[in-house]
Amino acid sequence: MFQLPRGVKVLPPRGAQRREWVRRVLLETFQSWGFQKVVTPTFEYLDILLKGLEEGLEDRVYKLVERETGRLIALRPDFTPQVARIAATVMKDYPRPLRLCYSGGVFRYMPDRGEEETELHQVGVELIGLDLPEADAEMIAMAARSLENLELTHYTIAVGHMGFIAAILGAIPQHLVPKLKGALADKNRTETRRICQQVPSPWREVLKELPTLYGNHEVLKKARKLLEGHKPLLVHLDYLETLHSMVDTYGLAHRMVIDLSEIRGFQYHTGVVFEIFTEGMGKKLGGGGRYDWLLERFGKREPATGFGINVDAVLKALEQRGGKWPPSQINYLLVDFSKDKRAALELARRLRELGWKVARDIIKRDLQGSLEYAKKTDIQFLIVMDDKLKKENRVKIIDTTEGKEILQPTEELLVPKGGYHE
Amino acid sequence: MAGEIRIALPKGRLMEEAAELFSHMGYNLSPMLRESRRLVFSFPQYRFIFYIVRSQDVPTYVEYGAADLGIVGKDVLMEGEYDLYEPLDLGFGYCRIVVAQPMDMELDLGDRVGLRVATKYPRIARTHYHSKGVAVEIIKLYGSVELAPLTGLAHQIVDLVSTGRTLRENRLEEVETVAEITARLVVNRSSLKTKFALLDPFIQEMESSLESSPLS
Repeated sequence: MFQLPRGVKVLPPRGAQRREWVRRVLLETFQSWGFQKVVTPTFEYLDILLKGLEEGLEDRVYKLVERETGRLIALRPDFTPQVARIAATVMKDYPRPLRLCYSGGVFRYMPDRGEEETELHQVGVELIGLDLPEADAEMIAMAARSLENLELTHYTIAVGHMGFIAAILGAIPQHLVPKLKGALADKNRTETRRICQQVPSPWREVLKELPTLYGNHEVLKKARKLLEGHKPLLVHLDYLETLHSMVDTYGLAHRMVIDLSEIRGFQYHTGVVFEIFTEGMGKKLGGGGRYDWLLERFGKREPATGFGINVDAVLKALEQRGGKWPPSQINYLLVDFSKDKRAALELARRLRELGWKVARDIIKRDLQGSLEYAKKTDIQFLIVMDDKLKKENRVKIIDTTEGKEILQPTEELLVPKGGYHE
Repeated sequence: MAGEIRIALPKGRLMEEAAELFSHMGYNLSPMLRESRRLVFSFPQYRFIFYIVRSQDVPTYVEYGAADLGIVGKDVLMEGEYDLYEPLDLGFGYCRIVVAQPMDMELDLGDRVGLRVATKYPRIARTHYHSKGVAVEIIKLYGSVELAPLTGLAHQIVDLVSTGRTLRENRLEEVETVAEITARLVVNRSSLKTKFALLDPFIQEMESSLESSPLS
């Protein structure tokens, strides 16, 4: 009866608070690395948006018609092209590099895909104006740290290189490319080998091994051996080698898996690309990579890299792992059994000024009823007042989780938040 | 979870052929073939856990990461839309998806306005006719598809055949092959990256076994 469109979510307070916490930790991590938040519109003209959009995503854009003009409007399906456009237009004269971050929903229609999210909450960054491996390493390290700050410690970052794949695809008979791309995307060894029969040496030998070129640092050595004498390809391996040693400097090399045949990603990606996975979660948590040509579509040619994290995917991973959640939202429920409410209102006002979250129990009920209510709504403490306590300038404090009671002088409650309760 | 390979297998013929492949790789799974009602089989000595599911559910279990690997017919993969790796064509479970119609029927696709096609594979059928530019009305059925042309429900059917006997018995003839189907190994994308040290050697082992196996 109150049906929702497929793939959208309603989150009651606890879920909403958790999502907000994940979102904030991610965003604050990015900001602590010097990234500044930008805001982009939730919807835009479709034709403008399409300039920066990959083909596959175009079919999955939610479209509306603008009343007065009849022009098509699209809900943003991806932040990166929007941020790239900001960098190339309003911020084109700002000093480089630009370190920008964002947070919000992206909308992708998912035909035939059950209950998968159509509204995805993403937090991400774009680092614009740098073409160095240091920049890619910073992206990987920052993605890693943001997850660690959420105490999500079992993650793997799979790194590939679109330039490497493109160089190989450029060297083989072009009519085989679409088929080969499909086979590589599926990591289909059987099909890749089948296609290889039609590829002349030396590329046949390279391609045959390509789907197996993933794993730790050894992969780079294996690839190097295979590609001896192919200078244009070795350049990309050198780049990955440098990247690997920088990620190692961050102490994160053991988190990195190199995957040289990975071609899934956005079409605008050009160099290093990566995806973040955690064990036990079938789907990726996020990903990103280099997109050195995207800004040119908006009028300023310059290198860029970035990544985005899917907030709800991280949330699900934390839920699955039984992760630690931030303490409850509301600190006090103030229950006043006396008739004159002035003292209670005054106490609530002063506590709020000190940073505490205070709700007043307005309904008439007994103490047990108030306690039940507080427990069920994640309120930490009950403050109980009555005529007798008021005369003594004391309050009764009940811990809602443990049920412990203490009597306390009212003044002692009035400490700034961050004091003795947390 | 980290130390085990979780494998989704479909009931029935594919499971038997998969067990044969595993046996060729040196893993004896015969207890699994004897107990037909159990859904989970654990082989700690090989570090395998098998989940026995419906064929159509194999890619779902793997895509969501409830299983790391799965063995499933290509027809199921073609009919759905899954985000999976598909590293190996296992060669067994061979059959074909074909277009069939009543024997001696003359059917001009170009002229016909209301071509009706019955199938258990609406997506594969739609893609097939669309690729030829033929407008078609797809009727989804869940079984006994051969009956549809005999009763006037549809003009043609798109169905899986292995020997073609059922078609002939119902006086139907193949007019076109849509796809050749074999069993595939599918792998969860996340598992391949996060359990790489466990899964990669296994996939390679399976691949070399296929190369030397009488099955393929």
